[in-house]
Amino acid sequence: MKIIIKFFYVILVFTNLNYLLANNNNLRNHILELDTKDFKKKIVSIEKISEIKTDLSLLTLKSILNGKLFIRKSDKKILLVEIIDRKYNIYDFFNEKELGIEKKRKLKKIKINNKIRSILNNKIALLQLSSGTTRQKIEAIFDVIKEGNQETLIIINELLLKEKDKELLLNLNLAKNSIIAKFGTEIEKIEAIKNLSGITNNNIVNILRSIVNDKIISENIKLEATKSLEASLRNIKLNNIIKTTFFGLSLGSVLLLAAIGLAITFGVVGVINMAHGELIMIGAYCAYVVQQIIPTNISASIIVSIPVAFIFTGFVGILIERLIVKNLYGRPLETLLATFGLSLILQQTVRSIFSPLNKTVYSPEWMSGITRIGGLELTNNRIVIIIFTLIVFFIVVYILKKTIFGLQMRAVTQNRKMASSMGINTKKIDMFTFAFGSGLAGVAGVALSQITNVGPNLGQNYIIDSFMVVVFGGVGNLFGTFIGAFGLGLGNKLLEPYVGAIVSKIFILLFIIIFIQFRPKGLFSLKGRIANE
Amino acid sequence: MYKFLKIFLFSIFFLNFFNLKADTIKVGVLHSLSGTMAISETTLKDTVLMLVEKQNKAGGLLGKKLEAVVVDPASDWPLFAEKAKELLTVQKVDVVFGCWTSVSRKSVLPVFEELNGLLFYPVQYEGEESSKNVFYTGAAPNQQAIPAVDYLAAQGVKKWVLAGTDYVYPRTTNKILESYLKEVLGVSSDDIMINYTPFGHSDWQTIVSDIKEFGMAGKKTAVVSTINGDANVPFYKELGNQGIKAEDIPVVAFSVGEEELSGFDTSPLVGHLAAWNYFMSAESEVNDAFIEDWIKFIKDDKRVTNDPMEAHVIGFDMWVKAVEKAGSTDVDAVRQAMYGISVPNLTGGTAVMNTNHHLTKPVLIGEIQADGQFDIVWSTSGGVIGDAWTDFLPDSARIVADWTSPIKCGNYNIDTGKCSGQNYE
Repeated sequence: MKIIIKFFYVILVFTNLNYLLANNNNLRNHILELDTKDFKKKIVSIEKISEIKTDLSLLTLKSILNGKLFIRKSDKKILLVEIIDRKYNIYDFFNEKELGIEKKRKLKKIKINNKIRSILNNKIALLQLSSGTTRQKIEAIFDVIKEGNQETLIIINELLLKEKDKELLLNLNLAKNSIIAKFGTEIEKIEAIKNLSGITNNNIVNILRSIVNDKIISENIKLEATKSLEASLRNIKLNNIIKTTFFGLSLGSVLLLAAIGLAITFGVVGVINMAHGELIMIGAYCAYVVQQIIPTNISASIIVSIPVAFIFTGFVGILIERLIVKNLYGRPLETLLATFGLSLILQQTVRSIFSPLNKTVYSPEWMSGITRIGGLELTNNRIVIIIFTLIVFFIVVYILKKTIFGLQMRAVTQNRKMASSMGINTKKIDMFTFAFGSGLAGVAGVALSQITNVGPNLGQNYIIDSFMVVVFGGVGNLFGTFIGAFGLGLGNKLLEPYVGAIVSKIFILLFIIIFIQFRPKGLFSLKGRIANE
Repeated sequence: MYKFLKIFLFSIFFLNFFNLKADTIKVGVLHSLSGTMAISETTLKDTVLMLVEKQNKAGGLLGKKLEAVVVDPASDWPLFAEKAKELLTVQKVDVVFGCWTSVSRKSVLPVFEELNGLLFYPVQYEGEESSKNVFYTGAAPNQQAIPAVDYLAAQGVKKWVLAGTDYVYPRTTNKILESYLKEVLGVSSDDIMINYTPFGHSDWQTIVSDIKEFGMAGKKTAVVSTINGDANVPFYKELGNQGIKAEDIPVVAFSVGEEELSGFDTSPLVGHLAAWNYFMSAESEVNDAFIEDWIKFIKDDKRVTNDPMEAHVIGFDMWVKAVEKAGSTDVDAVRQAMYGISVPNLTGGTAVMNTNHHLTKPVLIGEIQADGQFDIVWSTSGGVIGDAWTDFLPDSARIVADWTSPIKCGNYNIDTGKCSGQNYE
């Protein structure tokens, strides 16, 4: 008896093994079929691979998507490839054995195009819907909404019974309704369409729109769809207003960040520093250098580079003040020319040291992607920059109002002679104020490295905007700079959808020219005797 | 003091004398090494220096050594004309490789025509030009923009965003494309969105959000980008941040190559497209050898190669071959020898110089990969002849360029039989 059981057991193992081997053989053949230039044939093979539904086939799909699946030209071996420093480290796809380094030309990559990428994403999303993390599942649902069918409906219904996460359930219901709206019976459809009312997701709006435009569908459904669509479009409009405001605030915060250092050097010390933009640029390069030193932890490198940039550009500021600006106090035209020349020197120096090519500063995880609030999608990096700007601004205000250094600084600006006779070393204060302003420019540079090019020309793009903000807000008034920056940012972004980026910028410049005619001292000018000096 | 001056003048005289006597062929390099365009043009200067060095190692040309004369026009358009004049009259170079922006080319054009110089221009451009003294080794619109649009249309794209920086190349290219989309592909004007931004534009939130909205209205949408170099990084970053994937709204760019992408992390951009005549990832023996040479020459294994570099390689090889054929560096003789000359390109085919001073080249479409390289997903089966005057603008359709008999003109109207426009014989 025992022998018979053993015998059966062996057969079972064998057939199972055979089955697996057959599967692997199948998989191997289908992967080899992918070695073609015809993308239509590739799609057929990928469909076949996804039908195998083993862990290995999921890995195959993922590796193709990530561009890691290669075929060796000589023996048609299927390989996984990790590219490190341009070296191709190869692994056997089926047993993960490391096979050393191979020359690029001996390997052939399984290339895909956007169509295949989208198919792959969808297949993987479906497989991940039942096995991924909650975040992955939610992302997968958005893919499912786009191209869901009855088959996916079954999976979704299963998940609805299983899952507990509120956000996930909400999205699952959306996906369910979006599929029923397409494939259900008339009563089901109407119910589903009602549930989709007011949803701003693009794919759902498109489904509603296609129902409204459908010529053979019944009037009842159409009526309901029209109502839901109108509600959605209303919500989208509302979202757009909020979004435009957000764009304005984020542009404003970038302007404020760029201008705040200038508001101190120009507003407080009264130096027209044309090299301010280059100090921003140096700050951005500090972020780059710090990231080169600690390449493994991007979050840490960005945070560390903030004080590094502040100290380094502050030090550069001291040098500029000691060597150039100090000798030119009270001669604005000469200062302007000297610092303009300096800005060219700094640009070319950076160009010589770091090459004229732009440098990569990587963004940490928490600064990429979108935050969804209802139907609203806000970009994370902008949110972080708005918060960061506000923090910097309040720290600056605190230093000016609540510290001895700030007190002395304000005293010197208001009445230099009086401050001097009270025992304040005005020259020292001038120097530190200039360094403080420069350091703030450096901090701005770190933030800007996250949204724009880090290259020698970075500063040029911001210098005019910075001056505009300071002049508009009122020289010597930080609060004015704050209002000026956000005012100009919002104005620019509110105009842009109507007149385009170029004309809106022109309007803003025109506005400032006219504004300055009537209020030459800006929005908030200093009052009293010193203001008339 | 006087004596000093005398010695000084004498030495200058002698130096010049020796210079004239020295048996070299001078190759002028007119690329910005400072200012905004240094980012792109420095690489091209290095490419020419490498080619000169290689040619000298192989025994020079006509038994003489080549000597590169590098000047820096500092991204300043009028200075381009001055430096070109200096190269042609003071340095007396035999050929010039240079310029990047269209405005710099337009600036030097009168100088080269007046002094009968020879310029090789390596960058893709808007066309509508053919000068007797310039060989255009970059792509004309029909070798880049039109095939790219055809490719996307074949992928099912029905709505189009034409986004560009506000200057002559994007304006002209978009005019051609708009007319092509409407007349040839039958796209209605509601389905075309045109958008221009200033140089160095860095705040793309509104525009990207508009594109997103425009593209999510059901029909498949693509963006055709003629956005200039520096504005691209913030543009692509914003695309990535707002979650626009290439599968939803692909962006095809004409000014973004390997070098521009080496400035940032491309993982959110995988699948966006570029159309060029060369990609670093092209599989051919010559390309492998070229990349190896380049990395050895520049002593940095992280550096990439790009399309304008290939254009200089083709231009340089053609010029060398033409000089050998003509037996001299005389501009007119070399020009005649250039027509019909063919050299291998780096993608495994051959490039031919046509009588309209434009090249026959293959057109490739590549998708951006996570490592900053492109995977070639489509290419023309053979070479495409560069068309100096586009067929898709009514004014240009009747104009041809042909610098051989009997037309001998870069701007010849086949209806009236008249040659007009730029300087001609």
